[in-house]
Amino acid sequence: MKRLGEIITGFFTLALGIVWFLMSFSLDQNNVGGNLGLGPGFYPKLVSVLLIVLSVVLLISLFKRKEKLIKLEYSFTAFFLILLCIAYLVLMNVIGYATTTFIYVLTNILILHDKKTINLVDVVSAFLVSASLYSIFHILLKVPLPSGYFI
Amino acid sequence: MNKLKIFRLCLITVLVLCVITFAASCGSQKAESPKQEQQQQKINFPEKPISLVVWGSPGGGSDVFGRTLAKAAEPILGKPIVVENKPGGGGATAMAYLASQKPDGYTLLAVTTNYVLTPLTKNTPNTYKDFDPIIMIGRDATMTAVRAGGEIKSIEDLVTIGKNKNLKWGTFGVGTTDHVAAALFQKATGIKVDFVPFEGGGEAMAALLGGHVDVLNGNPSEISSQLEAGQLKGIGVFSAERLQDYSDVPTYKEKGYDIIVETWRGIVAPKGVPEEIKGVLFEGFKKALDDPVMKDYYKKNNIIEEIKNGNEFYDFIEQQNEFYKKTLTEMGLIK
Amino acid sequence: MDLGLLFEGLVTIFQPYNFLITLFGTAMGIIFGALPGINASMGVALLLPLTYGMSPIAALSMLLGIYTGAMYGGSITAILINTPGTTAAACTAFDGYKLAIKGKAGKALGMSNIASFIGGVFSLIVLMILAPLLAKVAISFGPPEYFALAVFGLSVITSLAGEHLVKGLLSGAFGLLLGTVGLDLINGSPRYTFGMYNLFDGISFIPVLIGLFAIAQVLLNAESKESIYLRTKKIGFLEQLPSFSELKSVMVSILNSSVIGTFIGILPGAGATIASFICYNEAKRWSKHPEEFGEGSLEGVAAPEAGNNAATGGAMVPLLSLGIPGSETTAVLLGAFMIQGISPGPLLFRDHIDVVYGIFAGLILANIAFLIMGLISVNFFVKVIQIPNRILYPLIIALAFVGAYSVKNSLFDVGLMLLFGIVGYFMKKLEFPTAPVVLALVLGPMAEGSLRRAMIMSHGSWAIFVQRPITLVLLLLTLFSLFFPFLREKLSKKKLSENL
Repeated sequence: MKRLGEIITGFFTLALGIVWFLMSFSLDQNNVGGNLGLGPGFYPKLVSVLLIVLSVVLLISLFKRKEKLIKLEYSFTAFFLILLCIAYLVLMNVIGYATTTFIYVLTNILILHDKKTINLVDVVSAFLVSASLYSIFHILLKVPLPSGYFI
Repeated sequence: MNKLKIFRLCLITVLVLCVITFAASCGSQKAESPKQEQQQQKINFPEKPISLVVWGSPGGGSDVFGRTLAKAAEPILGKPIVVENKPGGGGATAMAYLASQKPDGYTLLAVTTNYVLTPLTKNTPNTYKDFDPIIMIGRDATMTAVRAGGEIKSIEDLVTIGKNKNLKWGTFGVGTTDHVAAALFQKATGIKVDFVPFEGGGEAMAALLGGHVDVLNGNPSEISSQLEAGQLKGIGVFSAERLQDYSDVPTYKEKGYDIIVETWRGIVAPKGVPEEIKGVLFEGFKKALDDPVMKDYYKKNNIIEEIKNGNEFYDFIEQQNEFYKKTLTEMGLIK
Repeated sequence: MDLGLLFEGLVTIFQPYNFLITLFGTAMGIIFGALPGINASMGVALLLPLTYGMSPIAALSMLLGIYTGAMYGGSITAILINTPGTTAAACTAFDGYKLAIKGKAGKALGMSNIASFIGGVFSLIVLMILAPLLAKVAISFGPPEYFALAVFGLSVITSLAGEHLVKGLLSGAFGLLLGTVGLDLINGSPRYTFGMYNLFDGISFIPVLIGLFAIAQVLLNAESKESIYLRTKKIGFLEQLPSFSELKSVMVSILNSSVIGTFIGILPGAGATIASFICYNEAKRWSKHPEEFGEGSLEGVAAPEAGNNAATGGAMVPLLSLGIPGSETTAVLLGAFMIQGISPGPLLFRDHIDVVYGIFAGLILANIAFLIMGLISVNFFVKVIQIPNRILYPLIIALAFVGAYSVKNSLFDVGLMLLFGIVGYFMKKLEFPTAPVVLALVLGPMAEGSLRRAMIMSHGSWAIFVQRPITLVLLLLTLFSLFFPFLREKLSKKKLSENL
């Protein structure tokens, strides 16, 4: 089995390795301390060469295989969840931790719900999740959680 | 899961939450016991809890110091002082956070020498010019330590041995106070030194005890237990006068090297805090230093009490900034 | 060891107040450990202020209860929801979660509990008998030795990779690359930070761990719509736990891991995470059923758990006998000693021998306490995975968010976690193992720092790595470990042909 995603990954890590390798040269110019053994660029060079070599090995092994290229199935659920998480992160600092968590959990339940209807159990559990996390982390453990217009 | 079970689960969770909230409120009630009669200022400050940001992780040296100080100052200022950890970037994260806060005196930062060192060595966005100092509260000496019973027994030995072979000098980082002190000494004497930087004190200390490095500089609090046990020996102090608890250890100044490098501690606020509020905070923290727990902490950790008000502290910081800028440039650590 | 003093210590610890406070600490430790983002060192630091008014023995026993409890607690969420509660439990998730999927969560939890107990008690005995001697071992490790140890640790990647060797190595190299981000360890200049001071201390480890494990797993499960959490059958309490014969079959692994874990725990700067990975690797190497590893092997749960709890006893060696904290948690414990007005170090055994034995007794109690609490609560924990998916998934994500945030109180870290959640999701989909990323991120900076320190010490001569006996032995072991799989294959083929 050979997948398009694997080939893309191979090229991605290859590119990452090359960028890291090229950037490492400017690091040694910062080696202002003098007399400090190997410079700051040595180890990044070593590691990025390793990444480049392994990427090439992976790509060669992929292209050598005489199999049909297949695309993986990606569903929209994961995509939605990622977007929701990003919204959760951004809004946390605006609205406040506890309120955002409640909204987030409820929305997430709705997305995962088979019937796409919300019942009382879901609302109560969303409330319990946000209330327990807030009490444990903020009240009991004194973590300064982000606060905005609400708590 | 049937409905009854869900109901039971909800009930249990609510009960647990009640207990937690109750326990927490009990805890904070104790802390809030107001002694406002001590406060004679006309303005109403503080009216709500103050947060004291520390840039160490929970449980580290600067965290324990911040928490002890907060506890001592709480009854004097009359409101709870909440310690917030913002570790990272040698203090840069905490400084950026403080710069983003309102200058109302309710957000403070406990600083050490890194306050000038981090912006200098790491080019971070915020410098001492972005903040208002409130109070300087003390300083820690820098002491040179070697293995007891080893070849090196004094500052003179460092020089004679350092002329013949490269000394391996362990440091707690690059451009740190202990490193700066050692580099100034190296420059003054022309000895040969290989600086071996470690991450954190524990690893450097283990390397000294294990003989992987020959010598290191540390605050007395960091090396006191090994000194007392006779595993390490203090051979010199980078201070103007000898330390009370280690009066047998000479200063570098006595030996003709005028090098004074100390770690200082203080409290700063975002720029633009009203003078009256600065005054309340200054008096509050100054009084907190007389608390017996605080006195005990200073004595145990060999911290020298030195109080400067906001303006004096600012001048001192400016002068320290110049000193480190010059020294670090000479050391080749900044351009 | 002085049995009379130990007896006195036990008498002290069984006084009602000391007894209860130790149990409280252990219980809190299990909870802290199970919460992702709150690890042992944070748990100890969070409850440190409670100890101000306590006697030294009560204070330290409570804190050590948290330490040992958290080491075990980390495995609970690792097994149930593939979200290691502490970094040291990352290894436990491989086989633990597979067992949970197969409906054997109870067995995995029970095994983790018992293995943790044995590891903890073993290292405690070593601590009591050999502490001063082992302190010498701790300081004999200099930069070259740490480099060799890090390289040895990295060789574990070849066994984590499973069938996909190239993919595993690529993941490892990616992790090493991530480890280069941050201020240079030796001269302090920023590297690959792209002007962000949030990256000065490097890419934080815990957000990456939570992202790659928890977020990625939830995304994957939500997508598959398959309800894998409901497979745990309703069975009796005792049937949930591992049977005696199962226990017996992994005993060798547990004991081996206890020895390795204790030894690695002793070294300042190495720690429980590295110990658990190396223990997992060794258990797989010497196991009679190496093919079961990664597919849900009880041995794969027992080995890292015995290893990380053994490391706690080991980490106490340099702390108590040298006054040197070897890990974050022991650094906080050092603070706790200082608050009590006691400095750990060589004089501790002379001036405060009663406290030392009180602490030993406290550790004995804490180990027994988490064994009993853990076994009793297995049934309760197994219920967690019976929560309907639509509620459990957001719960895990919300927990991951707050956990990543609490490490440094930083939203940047939460964003980092989310990013690695997405990376992990694609990696899992394309069958790139994620564990090598985590291991390489831990070991990369250690390898680079110690390599460069060693090169300063030797004035640029690589000979330093073959001149020092411990370094040489460790490097040879690495070579052996890399070629062992091929060797074994050859041997087994030879045997096969002889038998024919």
